[in-house]
Amino acid sequence: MIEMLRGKCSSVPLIAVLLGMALVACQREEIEHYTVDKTDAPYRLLAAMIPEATQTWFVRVEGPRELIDRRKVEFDYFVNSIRLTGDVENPLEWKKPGNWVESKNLKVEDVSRYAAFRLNSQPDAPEVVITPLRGSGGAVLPNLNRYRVRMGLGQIQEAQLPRHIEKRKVDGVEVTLFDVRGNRSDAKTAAPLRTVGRGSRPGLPELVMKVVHGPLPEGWHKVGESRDGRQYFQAGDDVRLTIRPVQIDAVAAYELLNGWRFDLGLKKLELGATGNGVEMRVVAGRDVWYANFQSPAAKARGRRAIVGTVIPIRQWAWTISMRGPADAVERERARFDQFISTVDFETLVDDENGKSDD
Amino acid sequence: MSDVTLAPPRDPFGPAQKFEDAKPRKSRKNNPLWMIAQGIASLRLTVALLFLSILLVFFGTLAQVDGGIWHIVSDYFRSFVVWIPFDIFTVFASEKSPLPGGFPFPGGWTIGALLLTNLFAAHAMRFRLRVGILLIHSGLVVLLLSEFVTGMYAVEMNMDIYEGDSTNFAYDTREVELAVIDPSDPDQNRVVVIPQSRLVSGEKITHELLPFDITVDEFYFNSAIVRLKHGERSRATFGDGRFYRAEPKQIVPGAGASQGVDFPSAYVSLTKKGSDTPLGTCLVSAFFDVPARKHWEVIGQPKSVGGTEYQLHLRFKRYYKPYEVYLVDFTHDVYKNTTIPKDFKSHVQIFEGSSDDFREEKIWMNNPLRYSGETFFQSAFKPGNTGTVLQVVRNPGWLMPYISCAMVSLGFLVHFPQVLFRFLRRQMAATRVS
Repeated sequence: MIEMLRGKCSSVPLIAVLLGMALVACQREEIEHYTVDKTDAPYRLLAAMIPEATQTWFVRVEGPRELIDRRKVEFDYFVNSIRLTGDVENPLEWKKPGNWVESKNLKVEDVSRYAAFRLNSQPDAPEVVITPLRGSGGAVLPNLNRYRVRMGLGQIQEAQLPRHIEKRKVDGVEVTLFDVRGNRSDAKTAAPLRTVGRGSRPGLPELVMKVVHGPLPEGWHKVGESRDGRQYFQAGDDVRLTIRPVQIDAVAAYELLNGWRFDLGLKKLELGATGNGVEMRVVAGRDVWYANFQSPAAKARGRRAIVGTVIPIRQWAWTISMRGPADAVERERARFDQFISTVDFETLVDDENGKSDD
Repeated sequence: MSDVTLAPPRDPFGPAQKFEDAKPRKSRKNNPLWMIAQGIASLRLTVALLFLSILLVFFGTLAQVDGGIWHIVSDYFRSFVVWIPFDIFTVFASEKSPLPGGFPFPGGWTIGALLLTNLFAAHAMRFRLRVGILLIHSGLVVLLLSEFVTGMYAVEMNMDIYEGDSTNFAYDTREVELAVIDPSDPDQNRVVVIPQSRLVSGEKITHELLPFDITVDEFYFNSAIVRLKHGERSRATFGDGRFYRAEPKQIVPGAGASQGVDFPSAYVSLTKKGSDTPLGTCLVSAFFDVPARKHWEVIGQPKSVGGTEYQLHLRFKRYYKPYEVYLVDFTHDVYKNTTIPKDFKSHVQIFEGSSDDFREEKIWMNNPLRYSGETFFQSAFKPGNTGTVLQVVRNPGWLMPYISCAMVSLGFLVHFPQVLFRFLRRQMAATRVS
């Protein structure tokens, strides 16, 4: 009897355990749903801190995120073009994008601006402001925290600094770049925002695809190739051809054409407009922009030209551009057209296993 | 001299003879239930089940030559029944030719459950309640249950972070999911996730939260994405798949030098909710959502329905975390004048919630970080040492094998002295008698 009872007692937990296991093991995976915070806040501030011997220059622009996202290329171009001359009268030189409009309003809130530009001709367009501060202009951290508070974010500590800044050499000077996104509308109470996946990383962009092409036209030869996907060619004596991937969104990809126009001293085109040397073509099975620009004849160094194509692929824009003296570029244009007709994109997948590459 | 009755020598694992002597025994012998119970509790069954386990491990090992290691683990060891194809035995043939057919075999969970039943039944019917035996067998039960818990709940994930970047999710390359993302909310993405087990060719998926019905036309466990040739037409009518086609590939085998990852792809057709009105077909692929890419969020297949542009992603299964991991620095040291890796080290900061307070840690080989019930191992790194790949392991049953070993060890420590003292006692009694 005792044994029988013992058997019964043992079988109860056993059956319960086995039934539980079977139930868990047999359950069907269900469709799930959840929400994920968007990583982008509605406002964005870009700034650069350029140290000089006696003073520090600050270049800053802030505004709605979508607008600043599109114009970041222009801001980077502008910062990269800044040169410290050492001249007391004209301490700074720069190249401004052609669509920026110089602002006359150089005294705002008791802060003297050295120069200011609106991003477009609209009176309420965000301004790019250049401000000098005597001495070192303060350390990086207080300035970053100043920007963060301005954007409705909490202050950070020294150890967190690398997360929020980028260092870049511009004309031999180490420039500190700030990129702050926040909710400026509720500056005092807004909780610190998440910054998932938005940290800026110096270095090479991660390539999704690689450009492959057919045989080079006669008289062309490859000059080099870099790890970030760029390829360089010599097309004839005076013409250089470059293939370059740019991490950019589809709208700003068109701005690359305007960048070429800016280089040639031409006026900016409206986003997406064709005509004035821009047409749509099909390259590698995709609709792409094809441009043929020539500088005005009055340019002192002679007419120069850029023929190129911008191929937007997801978050990338691949540019294939040929530049040089206008007559030489025109001579090579037919070969260029033939060259881009052989271009294709190869997906880079071999190194995608998440394993080390040793 | 008084008469001394000596007890017959006993089996250390239990006084089976006690049952033989018991009176109710005779009546039970004819009871079919009792006979079944005896069969379940028998040592013969234990031996047979252990032999089946050995065979299962053998078959599973053979299957790994051509099958993916995790597919085999799932099909053979974490299933109730497995179909063993004869084809796996061709590994012994000098010239390999496919062998049709196969045979069913009990899977790991069936064998494990039967072993558990056998153990419980043996305790109920054969064993005497002794502390040592009880501890040893409890340890075995914990070990069996730990494998069940591991199989059901353990997850191994990867977390890719570039220097200067942070992330709040990890992904499991053994499984994909089809995510339908509604980005219309300015603050949040609404994500509906369909697990891989539902992505079966021919299956129509409907759900109240999905903006459309989805029919899986084809699902490939591993695939290659090939660019369409000139004039070739794609099955996809929207998305990147218009320019590519997916080709099925053999699953990455578990054996061999290449421990690669399968990249599943699928053709899915969308239909208007609750009807058969077609909305289009697209190719979704893990290739379009490759985790090594930095900007993977944007590579979705867009479909506009009712004014909202939804994104479809076939991506490695994601596990979002309540914390963020920020990579401050990654270092990769090599032995002097060689390219042989000496050390990988990730300097990370972990941010909990939206707070700016963080915990600072360094993770390197053989020095994992334990945080929030998960263990972070240094696993790999990004090309050019620009980032790190951490393996994140969550196993709620990770302590169970240790507990099991401790219980079994303690059981032996208790049981063996008991047996020894009993033996010595009998020896002494026998000596006295003689």
